Formats: sequence, C-alpha cells, structure tokens
Amino acid sequence: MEPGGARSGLSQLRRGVLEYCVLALLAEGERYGFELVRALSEADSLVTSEGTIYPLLSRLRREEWVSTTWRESESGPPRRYYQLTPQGQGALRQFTDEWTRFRDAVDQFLSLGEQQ
Amino acid sequence: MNARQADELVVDYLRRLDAASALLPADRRAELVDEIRAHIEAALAEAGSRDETAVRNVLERLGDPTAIAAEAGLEPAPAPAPAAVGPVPVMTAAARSGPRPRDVVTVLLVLLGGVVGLFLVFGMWSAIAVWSVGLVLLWSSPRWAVREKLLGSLIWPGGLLAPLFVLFLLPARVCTATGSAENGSSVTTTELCTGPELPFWLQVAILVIGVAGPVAVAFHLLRRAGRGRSLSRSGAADGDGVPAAG
Repeated sequence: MEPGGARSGLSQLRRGVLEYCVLALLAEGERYGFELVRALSEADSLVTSEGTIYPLLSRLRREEWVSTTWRESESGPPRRYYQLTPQGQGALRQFTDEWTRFRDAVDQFLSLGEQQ
Repeated sequence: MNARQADELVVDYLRRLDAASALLPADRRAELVDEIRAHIEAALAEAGSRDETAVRNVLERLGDPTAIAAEAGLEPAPAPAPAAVGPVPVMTAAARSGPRPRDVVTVLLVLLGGVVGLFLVFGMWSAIAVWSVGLVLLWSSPRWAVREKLLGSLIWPGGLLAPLFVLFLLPARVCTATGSAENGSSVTTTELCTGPELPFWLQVAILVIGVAGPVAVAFHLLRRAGRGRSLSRSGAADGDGVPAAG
C-alpha cells in the first residue's frame, strides 16, 4: 500500500498526464472509445481503472481538443470516434516540449536520491 | 450462473453508475452511462464470451462505478460561470452576437442611401448626402478594418446608385437628322449624334457588375461585423472592445 500522500500525488500526476497520452494516441489517427481506453490501459501503471478515462474524454471534447463522429460498425451499434482537433494538436505540441524538460529535471533529482 | 444472470451484472453495474452520477448535469450523466455501456458491449464482443467470468473481468477493469462518477464530478462543469475563464467567453459571446443595429444601418446606408436620397427633395444632392452619412458611420466604426472600409467606399461610390447612374442618367444617344432638298428629287440627310452608344449586352453587364459588387460588399461587411471584432480600442461604445489575447 502506498502512503496516502504519495498515492494522491501519483494519481494527480496520472490524471494530468493521461489527457496528453490520449491526444498523442489520436495524433496517429482516430479511434473509438473502447480502442482508445484499451490502448491506454495496456500501458503499465498509467490507468488504474478503465472507466475513469471516459469523463476525461468528455472533458477533452468540451474543451474542443478532440472532436467526435458517430460511425457505423460492422458489428453492433454505431461507435463514437474521437479525432484530434487543431487546438488539440497545439496542446500536444506544447506539452511534449514541457514534458521533456520536466522529465529530465525530475530524473536529475531522483538519480541523486539513488546514489545515496 | 447463466448468461441472463451475467447480463444482470451489467445492468446492476450501470444502475450503480447512474445513481452515483446523479449530481452531474443530465446530458453528461446520460453520456457517461452510454459510453460505459458501449465500452462493456465492445469489451464483451472482443472477449467473445458473455459468461460470468468475462463480464466480471470487464467490469473489474472498468473499476468502481462511484470512482468513475467521482472522476466525472472532478471535471470542471462546462462554464456557465463566466468569471472563471476570463476574457475568452466574452469573445465567444461577441463572436456569436451577429451584426448590431448600427452595423446594419451603416451597411444599408452605404448600399442604398444613394438610391433613397435620389428620391428626396434635392435629387442628386440628397443622394450624395445620404450616402455620405453611411460613409461617415462606416469610417467611424471600430467594427471594420481599413481594407473593409475602403471596399465599402469604393465599390461603388454611391452604392446601388452607381449602376443606376451609369444606365439611366448618362445622356442618352440623341440623333438629329437635317436634310436639304436638292432639285426636288434627291434628299441628302446628315445625321448628328450626341451621347455615348451602349450596346445592349454592355448595359446588362454594367447592371450585373454594378449591382452584384455593392451587394457582395454589403454582405461581406455584415459578416465581418458579425464576428464581433473590435479593431480600434478608442471610442468603442460597444462592450466587446476586448483585444484578442496573444
């Protein structure tokens, strides 16, 4: 069991980063909800429960970082496909820059801790 | 447990999700439940089985419905509260406001003022006067860029008066024949004509270009005004004089 503080800090971090992972997945091409969620949940430790991704998708759509289109599927009911909008592309580019610097900075301090 | 009971698990899960998201706005609540339902269907289709193990596995991966609803509750509501987001919604509201009465009056005067003025007491003079009022309104408005103001003024001066003027007020071609009789038998006539000669097709072309030009410019001006941009900060009596950030 993680200590409460670290756990909540980690879940905050996951929550903040996850939306950019969604944008990055969509930069490759449109996907429907289930595909998107499975792709994210297959990455280790990024997603703790698949269901919590849907509220995030809903917010990304309201912020117009993604748009959605209903398409017929070969089997079953129509699916809601998510696409990256130009605003979403911009946000992803900006985050990618920031993230690289952020990660390097954090790694730098974490490696100090490991040497002791 | 049979397939029917496994389906009951799904129904129960969705019911718990629906109950837990009771505080969300109705549309977001319905959307969330629909998305999760679609996810369960897709996951079971992928698993190729609807038995209890498959269903439990899918629901387990989805996680506790109350956690999903809580996550949805954490997402900021779509802002009806304007203060939270700063000047952005102001711009959005202005962008949807469409042209204002003053914009419409301005464009109508520039387009039709000349023609209307023509029928007032002073004929051509009042035509020029009424059109000029439109020009003054146009150039003093913060809603258009200089390029658009130039368009409005130059295509065509007088608005719809211009094609009328060209077609009907130009001196008509007048021909007078003078003849002199010689020897009582043969008549020599000399024809004297004044005024331009416009072939019929040219008259139609002038009419089309003359009318289409100002009408197109008028629509263009109304559309630009409808975007709610305010291009000069001074003298903006309208509330949307917020320069776009960045």
